[in-house]
Amino acid sequence: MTSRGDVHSQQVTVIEPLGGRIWPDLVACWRYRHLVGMVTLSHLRARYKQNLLGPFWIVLQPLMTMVVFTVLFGLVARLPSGGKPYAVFAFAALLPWNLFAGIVASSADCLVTSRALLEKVYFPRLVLPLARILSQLVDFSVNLLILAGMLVWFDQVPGPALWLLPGYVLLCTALGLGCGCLVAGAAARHRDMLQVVSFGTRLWMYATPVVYSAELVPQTWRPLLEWNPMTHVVEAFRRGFLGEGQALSAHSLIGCSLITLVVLVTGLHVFHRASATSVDIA
Amino acid sequence: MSAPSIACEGLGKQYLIRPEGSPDSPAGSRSGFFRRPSPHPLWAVRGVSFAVQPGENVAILGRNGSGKSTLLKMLARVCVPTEGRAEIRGRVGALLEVGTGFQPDLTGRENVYLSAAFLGMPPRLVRARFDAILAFSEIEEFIDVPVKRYSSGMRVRLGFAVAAELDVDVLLLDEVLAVGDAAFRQKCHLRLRQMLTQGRTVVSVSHDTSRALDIASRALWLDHGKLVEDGPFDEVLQSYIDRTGAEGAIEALPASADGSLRILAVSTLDLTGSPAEEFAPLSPITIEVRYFAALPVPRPYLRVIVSSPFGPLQSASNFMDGARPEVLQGEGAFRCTFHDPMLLPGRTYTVRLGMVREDGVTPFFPRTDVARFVVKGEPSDVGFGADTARLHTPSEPCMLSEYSWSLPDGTSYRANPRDPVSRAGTDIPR
Repeated sequence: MTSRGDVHSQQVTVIEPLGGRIWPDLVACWRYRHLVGMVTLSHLRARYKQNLLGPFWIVLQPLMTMVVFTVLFGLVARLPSGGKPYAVFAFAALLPWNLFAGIVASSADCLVTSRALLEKVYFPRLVLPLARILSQLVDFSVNLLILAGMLVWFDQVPGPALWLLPGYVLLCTALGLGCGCLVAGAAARHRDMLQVVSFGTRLWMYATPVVYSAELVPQTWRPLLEWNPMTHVVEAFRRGFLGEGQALSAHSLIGCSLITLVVLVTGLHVFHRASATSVDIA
Repeated sequence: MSAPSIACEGLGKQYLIRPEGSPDSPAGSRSGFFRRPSPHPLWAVRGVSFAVQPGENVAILGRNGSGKSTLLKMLARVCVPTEGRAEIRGRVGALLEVGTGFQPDLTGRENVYLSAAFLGMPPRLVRARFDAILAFSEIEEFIDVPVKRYSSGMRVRLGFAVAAELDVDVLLLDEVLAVGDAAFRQKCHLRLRQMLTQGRTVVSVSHDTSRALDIASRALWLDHGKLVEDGPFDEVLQSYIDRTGAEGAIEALPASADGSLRILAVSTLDLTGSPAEEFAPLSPITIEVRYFAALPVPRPYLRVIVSSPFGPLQSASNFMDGARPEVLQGEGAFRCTFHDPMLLPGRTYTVRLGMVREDGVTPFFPRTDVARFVVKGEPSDVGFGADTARLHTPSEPCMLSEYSWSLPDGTSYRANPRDPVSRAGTDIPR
């Protein structure tokens, strides 16, 4: 009861019409970090609690995808994989791609699925996509272990570029958050955006050298490839884990980082606006 | 006084209502890819300014759609105002609906921690308070059960317990306590009082004025989104009841679903048998009901109920007295006189009519408000001469009775509404 008296020293909440700045959102998220953790946990729990296979889904999905890709593109279409076993070649790329696609897909509907919550309690709305990122990162880490196991199994040695990977994970996460926020903002108003997203990410995957090697891409298409931030991420993973992969120009990497930054800031702005008004849309 | 815990300056919220039932959107947002009919703006709340001091308990009064809940939602930061500004000092807890913010798949325990996180509170602070929360909610045996299996009463218990025990400085309540049982409501009210004495602030919305009455010291009356009156609870409630009583005209007289029995007119008659809407204190009130029965109605049950905004007070019922009419046929009328209506003056009363078929089960129509009347006069007319009597009239129950006090200092006092003249002012303790 001793702390009761000093009401003056306590935080002051200011309630105002929607402003344009997103910085306060980010600060608020830090104050609500416990909430981010708890929402993440409840996500992970809810996702696997009532399922027959439970947590095995985390690894089952990427593994199955890898098997399908190996059979289809490695064995049937015989796509070159830089002399590495196609299974590892594909899995090393699928790993960051799934992280990106997972973040986009799960943040995209966060304003729609959490509507009941948004109508009843205040919290920085950015907590929702952030928590989804964290739960995707958990999946990612588990699959990282699988990849390590595969490297041992296929007798592969990671390349010296391995230590660069955290930077690329950051790039991938930031791009995913930016895209996810953009879509979440649009989906709050137009639900059909969610369909566009699932279709769009699939197209994007085929535009990124996930199932094929970047070498296969003709020179005329190279710029398109290089200005796709995900190409850099995917190739960096192959370089890091397999010591094999296309060296991409440094200036396109800088360009892609800038693109990511622009997408991220735009996404945060759109999300900021949409999260404040989504409750008002019936 | 110290800095207000809530300060509102011209707060307003505009909605754009689109025709054709398409989604209504907030002001200032762009329309989609396709052109839609132009929306028309609707201010749910506009120009509301007030300040609440720590330790105050404010009730927001108003009819449905007057903007009460919108105002509360803005304070809870669930929706963003279109104009104006408000400042709240301290931690804000909001119970806007039953089970606010509970995740149905998580257990009660997990939800307590989650609710705390929604208040920006780390788990370690909750751990220290957990037992107190559990004790207050009285749902120990269900705490590890997912909240989706909870009854709405249990959710309110847990929700209120979290808000009460977790050191919120400002508590916003929207109609939540109505769900709990009487014992728990009582407990909540006690707890609220305790919180108020600790300098915390409570703002509540209640459609049931008698509920707000128990705890609120001040009221804000909203009408069509505007703040009409702001003052001591009793005063605001009085003018609220006066106005809404006058405005709330009897909408339509009832008729049976098949149309065979219709109520044509209901009037209140005074002692002389002439229609009146205002009555002197304690003077007889006659209710006359004119009906038309297209088919003969054998032995119906008639029931006339006089009620105040707080609930029913007196009834005349054939279920109790057995004086059923043989038959109602064609056009006709029946009268019911309350010869000795012991009603508090200065209040508006409502007459409800119920008619049930011969079987005693099937009503002709739902019980309906058919008339209103006012008992004019001052509290002193029925023997209440204290100088606080007038101010407190709105918050006292409306039925009068003869009663007496025996006080520890040996004095006694007898209140007799029927004989106010000889009593008023004589025996009233100074």
